[in-house]
Amino acid sequence: MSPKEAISVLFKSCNELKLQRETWCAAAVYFHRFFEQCSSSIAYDANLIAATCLYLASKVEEDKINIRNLIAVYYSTMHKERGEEKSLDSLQEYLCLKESIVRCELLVLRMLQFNLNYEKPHKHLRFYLTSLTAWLGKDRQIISRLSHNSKAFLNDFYRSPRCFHFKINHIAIAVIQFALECNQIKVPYDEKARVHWQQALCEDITEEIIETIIQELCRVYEIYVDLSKFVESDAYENTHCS
Amino acid sequence: MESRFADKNTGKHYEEVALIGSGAYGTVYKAKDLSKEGQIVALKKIRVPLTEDGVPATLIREISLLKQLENYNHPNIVRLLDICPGKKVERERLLILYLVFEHIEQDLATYLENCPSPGLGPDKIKEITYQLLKGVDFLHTHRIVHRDLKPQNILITSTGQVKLADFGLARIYAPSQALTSVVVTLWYRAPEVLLQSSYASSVDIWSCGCIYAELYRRKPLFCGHSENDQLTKIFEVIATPPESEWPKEVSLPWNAFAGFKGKSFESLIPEITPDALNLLKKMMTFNPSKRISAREAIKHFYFEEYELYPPEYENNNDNDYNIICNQKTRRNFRFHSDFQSAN
Repeated sequence: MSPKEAISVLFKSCNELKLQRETWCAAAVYFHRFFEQCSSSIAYDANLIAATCLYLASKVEEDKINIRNLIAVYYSTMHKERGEEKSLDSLQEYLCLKESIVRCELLVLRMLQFNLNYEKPHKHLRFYLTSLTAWLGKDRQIISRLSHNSKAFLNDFYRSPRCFHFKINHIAIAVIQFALECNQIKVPYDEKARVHWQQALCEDITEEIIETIIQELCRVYEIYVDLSKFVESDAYENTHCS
Repeated sequence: MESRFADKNTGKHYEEVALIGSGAYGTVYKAKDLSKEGQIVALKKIRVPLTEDGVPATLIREISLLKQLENYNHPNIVRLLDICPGKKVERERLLILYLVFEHIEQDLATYLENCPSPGLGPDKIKEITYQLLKGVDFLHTHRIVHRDLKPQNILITSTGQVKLADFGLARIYAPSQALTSVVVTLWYRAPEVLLQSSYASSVDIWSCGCIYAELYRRKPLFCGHSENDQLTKIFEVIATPPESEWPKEVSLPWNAFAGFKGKSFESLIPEITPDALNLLKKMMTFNPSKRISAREAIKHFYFEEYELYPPEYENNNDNDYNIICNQKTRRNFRFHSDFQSAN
């Protein structure tokens, strides 16, 4: 399986395991960093790496998961992705998978040079949304749609292998802008404003940066929508089914 | 340790040169980094027990915290250059990790030993103490308590730059892993630690105070050989605190140490100036909640002159920092830019 598909399984497993969004995000960043770092000549098992990254992220984020649960959920999710219904029954296979993850953990740690700190954009997003919604008036529906969509976009953005190349506050601003555009919401008086809301919230952001991030996000949707395996994803549900 | 080891993932290559020392927690080697033209580094070897669930979560968090601190490049913190996994001892489920630090030849203990009479002089003492407190403040800001500050793990470069080492490791090595029966020195321990009461970042300030006094004396301030003896030596100087300040949950009763009148720090350090004495007393306060913090200590009027002209370091090409000692040239040179930034 390619990294692209493994990240899909990773996100679905996170959902199944009811992990915090910050943990999803950290796991995805480790995963992308790993594949950027490693030389392409060695074929790593993307699923093993993804499961290990998830395990590491749960340790770092103190979002504890039992390794047995992790393996069972990842296993069945992976098979579902391939269109099979299969759960992990063999003890032999379980022990083998567990051993692989424990061994792989060291490899991932080394590859990431033990640097597992990644600040997550979620609190920036929350803060920006609170500031912005004060401007948008009292329409509850609009506000909840905006916040729901931007959170979903943020989450999906971490499927992009380039996600960790951007500053987290820039990502937060860009997903809000994208959510505003998708819902055709205008920030009142923004056209006349000397300082636009983007700069008001985040000083060093430029239109180019926002544009690049949105393009990257659109690329994610192209890839995963084409695969027609994207139906379960948050944003797809929200923007297309509601 | 094998005398040479390489990491095939990163192409790093280290060759052991000499054993520097073995502390309570592990061994330190002087080594050459063969991938960097034999640059001398300090290798600290730690042994991590692998559990059923792989690498312990606490270790992962601590190490990535150390890595994160590197991003700040703080001048008074020893550089952590790399982390290398060594051979894994499969049967014992033991992981060996080498923490690769920059190597600095001299620690504060040898620096003081080699210092000729009549001692360091007040300016040098101030400069060292200031840098020490700067480093401690940086650690405390990042929620790290050093817990074992002593002249042996304070490094000082040939240009007089002070760098803290061995921080954040106390939690990495579990106490059960203490490999040798090396006696851990009590001399810099805060009273609340000796009393086994709860403690916080203020324990580091106590240690700084002891070291500060030692800079004047060129010998330790309190040399106890047991917890009790250490406490006695402390109270002989700072006097027994009132019973109301004695921590409640400790096994040693206040009575056991009652009646010490204390003596003045001046009698121990005759050459100390009033400003310096004022700071020292604030650092050597029995009650941890009344003890001065690192941040406050830096702003103490003893360091007033640094407010405008802090000791400065210049980064030269060898990745080494140099302290600019010539205050006069610096003043002339920096006046204009200082003035601008003040606006």
